[in-house]
Formats: sequence, structure tokens, C-alpha cells
Amino acid sequence: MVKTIKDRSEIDRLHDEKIALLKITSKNVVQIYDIINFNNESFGIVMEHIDGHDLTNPKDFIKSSHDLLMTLWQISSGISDIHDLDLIHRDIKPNNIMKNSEGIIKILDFGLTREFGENAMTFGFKGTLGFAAPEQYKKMESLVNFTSAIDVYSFGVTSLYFIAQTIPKITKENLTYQLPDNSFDVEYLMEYPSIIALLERCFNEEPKLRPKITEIRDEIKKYLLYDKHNALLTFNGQTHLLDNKNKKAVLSIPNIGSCKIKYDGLNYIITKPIGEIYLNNTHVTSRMIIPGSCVIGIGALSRPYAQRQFITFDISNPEIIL
Amino acid sequence: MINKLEKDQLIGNRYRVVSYLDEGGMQYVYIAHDSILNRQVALKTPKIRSAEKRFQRSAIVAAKINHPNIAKTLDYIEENDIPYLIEELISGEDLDKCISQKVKFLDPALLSTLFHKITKGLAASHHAGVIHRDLKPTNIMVNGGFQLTEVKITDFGVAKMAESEINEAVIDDGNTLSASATALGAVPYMAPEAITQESKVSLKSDIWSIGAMMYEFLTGEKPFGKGLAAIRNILDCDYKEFPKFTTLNIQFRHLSQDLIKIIKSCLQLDPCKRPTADELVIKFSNLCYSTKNRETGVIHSHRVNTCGFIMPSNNVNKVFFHKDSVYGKLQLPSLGKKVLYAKYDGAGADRAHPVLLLN
Repeated sequence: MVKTIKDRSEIDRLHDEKIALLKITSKNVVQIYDIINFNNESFGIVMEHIDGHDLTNPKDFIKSSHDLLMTLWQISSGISDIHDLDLIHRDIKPNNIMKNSEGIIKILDFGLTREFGENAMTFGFKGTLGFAAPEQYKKMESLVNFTSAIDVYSFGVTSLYFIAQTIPKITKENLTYQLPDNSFDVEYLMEYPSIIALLERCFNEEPKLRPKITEIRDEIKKYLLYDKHNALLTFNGQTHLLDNKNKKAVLSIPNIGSCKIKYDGLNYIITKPIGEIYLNNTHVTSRMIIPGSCVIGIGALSRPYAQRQFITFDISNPEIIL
Repeated sequence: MINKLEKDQLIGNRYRVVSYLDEGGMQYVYIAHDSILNRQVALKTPKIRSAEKRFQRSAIVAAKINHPNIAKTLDYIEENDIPYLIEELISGEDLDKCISQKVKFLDPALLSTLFHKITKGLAASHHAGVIHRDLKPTNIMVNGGFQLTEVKITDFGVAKMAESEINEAVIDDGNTLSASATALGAVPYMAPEAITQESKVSLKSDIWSIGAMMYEFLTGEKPFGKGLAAIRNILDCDYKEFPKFTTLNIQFRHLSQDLIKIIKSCLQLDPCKRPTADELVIKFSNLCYSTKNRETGVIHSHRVNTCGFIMPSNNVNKVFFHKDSVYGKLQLPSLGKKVLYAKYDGAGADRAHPVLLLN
């Protein structure tokens, strides 16, 4: 696809688009191939042709909880990749997102992208009514400094659109949208209260109180990877594999310390710690989620080395298969 | 031969040569400045005329792929009958310089981290129907050293050149050895069908190369040996048994065994029996390994016969280690030995695991 532009006023806009896109190699963001100069007045961008459709008809592709989570995860991954490069998209909405024939979701139309910091300051409103964050309208007449939180707001609206087929109505008088209670309490999200809570927080009027897009991505990912983790414990010259079939292990040195380790499909958790149990250097006294690969120690530092035991704990890094 | 480019030479009215960077088997690599997009790029041009067609094909195939673990192909230009390939410039070194020359082997966790990334890139290229044809450590770029911050496969499809040189070398019974030094660099990782029947080369030939590289990084030895002598072993799929140390230590046994299974599945004479790149990615995603940052230090002291302390490179806060956390032969590394390790908070001193010996 070649996109060309002649209007002088549009050239600055397109310049931003090319600089932003050239930095990105994301599975969920459209790929740019080249920039062609036609003359001093205009140039074109050669970008990936996407064989597919945009996301304006969610009923066509969201038919289950899994479809919805997969869609939201891919969009939040694309936005995360954009934010990782210190860029803001500024116009996240279903018709700027496409799904190709392999089911891969791609975010496009970077016309409004700005880098964070000083370059993020811009005059006037650019965005889409209903999808744009309140601060994008509010300071229409003044110099506005946006943060990546505007994309998080638009992501929230996009999610609401997929679920409820509606978007917030904004008028000139009332720029702040009050999300009705239970907006996200729908069948497809019923079993995921923590995801609902994050989606609701996207609508917070205060940008700083909205979640980071990576938080949303990682929370959804946890559910998409439900029961898919493996963990390996090496203890007393033996290895134990903990997975969805083998969900529990007991670690114990009599009279010194003991605990259980449990896999609940999402996390590995230390439960019932008794005595001298340490996760890395933290004394475990109550139920605790294991944050990743670690060393679990039984026996305090005050004991002779021979009385202490160290258990290495490694977790797999599962992938979401599309 | 094609002459080397001069500094400031302008290619395609767009790319200005900044400096000479490196040379691969068949090509020179320069850093160039893209005047339209105001960025640095890698500009590659073949050393010899016969490689030109490969170049064009390489550009066409590689441009189809967009993945964080693949070096992005940006442009292809022919000027005065000389082809130029413009690629994303990766700050870093190839796997051979950055890893192979610094360690004898990699511990199973680092090996898993590295090949999980490589196979994800390869899977993206195989989805686009692109065979690499010449996977080897010098065609994999790494940024961030042992942290493996960025891992990118480069030089797609240039390999046919190597095949014809190999055939020549085989026919001449070693007489063209020097001329074929390039091709010989690829031999240890070449699939049997790539040596015998160019037409039988498929996506699965890349999978064999993955297996051969993994074998080398796990054991410190090339599975089939080096040079022309390796060819017979490759054709017979006759690789050396995995050394005992790979599975002797309980701390590494489970992951090593999983990796050995993957390697064996890749090194099968019948290409159909080898896994697909997608299947490899799934296998890697089921492995239990830590991706913690690695640090360097030297063995500072021993405590009893089983453990000791590492002095980190910044000379602050010694780190405890147990010999079971050291990948390799089951013995305490000697004092002053350079090591690479991941670190966990611990009481008294932090704890190193795993520990890998540096050259």
C-alpha cells in the first residue's frame, strides 16, 4: 500500500508518522517499508498491505471469552510496543486496528503519533470524538502535554465498544465521561474480575490513575496462559516438576522449616510456611506468590551451613499461540 | 572481485558510506547514512560477482519478514551493475565474537534464552515461506552481550553460494580448500540435504542447523567436527555422544535433558521427522529456565570443598556460590577464574546461580 500526501499542512503530520513507524518491529503494529520522495512538496509511505478487516464489527470475530481476551491482549501488546519506544499513538479506535487473514491484529494510522516529552506538546484537538481521553478535549485552546495515558483511555473505550457496542457520548458541555456501574460485567468477562477492574480504571479522569498498558497486557496474558506453566524445583538431589497435572509440592526440614508450593493455574504460591522459610532473602511468614525464578531457603543464616537447604526454582516462559 | 567502497561514496543517490564495518563470507559490510530518513544503516555488497544473484534474492525474501528477532531488510539497489543490500544496523556483535569466543559452552538456562529467541525469529521467517539456508553463529547478531538484549538473525538466503563452493571442494578433494574457506565455515551447521542435493533444501534444513548450533553451545564441541572431515559425519548423521557433564549435575540435568531431546529431534536425516520452527518455539516455551540478568566476576575464595565466593567486577559485595550451581565439570572452579552468573538476594551474601566459566 502506498499512501501519498500533497496537502502542505498534512506533511508535518506524515513526517511524524514515518519517524514513529520506522522505529517499530512489532507483531501487532503495521510495518513500514520505505519513504519515497516525489518532490519537495510531497512524499509517500510504503507500508505493509494488510489482507483483512478492521475491528468495527466485533460480532464477527468475538464469539467467546477467549476471542475477546485474545483481541484485547494483541491490541494491548501493540500499544505496549509503541509506548516502549516512547511514542503515543493518540488515535486508538476499532477502525484504526485491523485483523489479518492469520488472525494477527495490527494497529495502524500513526498520523497522530508524537514522541513523549516536549514534542508531545501540541496545539488543538486531534483525535476521535468519543474515543479520545477527556484531557485531549479539555485543553483544546491551550498548549497540551499528553502522556501515554491517553492511549490507555482509548483502549478502555475500544474494549467497551467490543463488549457493549457503544461508546461514550461526549458533548461540548460535558467532556468527562462517567462510566456507568457494571459496564464491563458481561458474560465474556464474568470470570475475570481483575481484568474488569483494570478496564474500568482506564476511564479515570486523572491520567496518572489509569493503569499502564503493560499492566493490562500482562494481566490478560496470565489468563491466556492459564495452566500452561511448568516449574522445576531442585531439592535434596532430586528434581520435581510442578505443572497443571502435578500441582503441589512440600518442602520440609524437620524442626527447622516447612512450606507447601501450589500452582493455581496462574501463579506459583508458597502456602502454610512454618518456621525458617526464605524466598531469596525474604522471610516468608504468610502466603506469598513466587515472583519468578528464585532460590528458596530453609534454615536461617544463624544456623551452621550444613543444616540449611537451598532449593532452586525455575519457571517456564510460555508463549501465547495464536 | 568487486572493489571496496570509499568513504563518502553515495549509493543510489541516498546512502552515503560512513565507514567499513566488517566482512562476512561473501560480502563487505559498511555503515552508511540514509539521507532521506536521516539514520544509520548497514550497507552490504558482494565480494565476488557470482554472489550477485544471491544478493537480490536475499533482499526479496528477507524483506517479507518483520520480527524483533530478524534484522530488517530496508532496501535493495543496483547501481553500475553492482547490487547493494540495505539492512537495519544492529549495534552489537555476531554470536561467534560475542559468545562463542568468550565461553567454552553455555549453561542450559542461557542456551534456552538464546535459542528461544532465535527460533521465534526463524518461525516468523518460515511463516513467510523464507528458508534462511545458512544459519550459523556468524549470521546471528547479538546486542547486549550475555544479557542477549537483542538477538537478530541476518543474511537470509545468501547461502546457495556456499553450496556450490562446497560441491567444488568435495570434488577437488581438498585442493580448493583455501578458496572455499567461506563455505567451510558453514559446513558444521549444514544439513545433509544441503550438501548432497541443493534442490532438496527446505525449511527443515534450517531446523537441522538450529540443532547443530545448540549441540555446540551446550557441549562446547561441534557435533560433526570441522572442515571437510565433517561432511562424512553429517551425511551419516553421526554425532558424538553428549558429554556426561551436561547431565551429571542435578541442578542442570532436567533442563539439559530437555535440550538434548530438542537437539536430537533436529538432527535427523529425514527432514520430515525434524520439528517445524513453530513446534520448536512451543518446546522452548515449555522449558523451565530463568532469564535473570547476568553479571561477571572472578572466583575470590573457597569455603570448605563445596562452595565459595565470587568478587563481582565492581568489587562490591562478594556473592556466594555452591559448586552445584556451576555448569560444567563437577569441581570447584579455581581461584581467579572469570565467571558469569545470575544473582539472587540472600542472607549474609547474595547467592549466584547458575555460574558459567568464562575463557
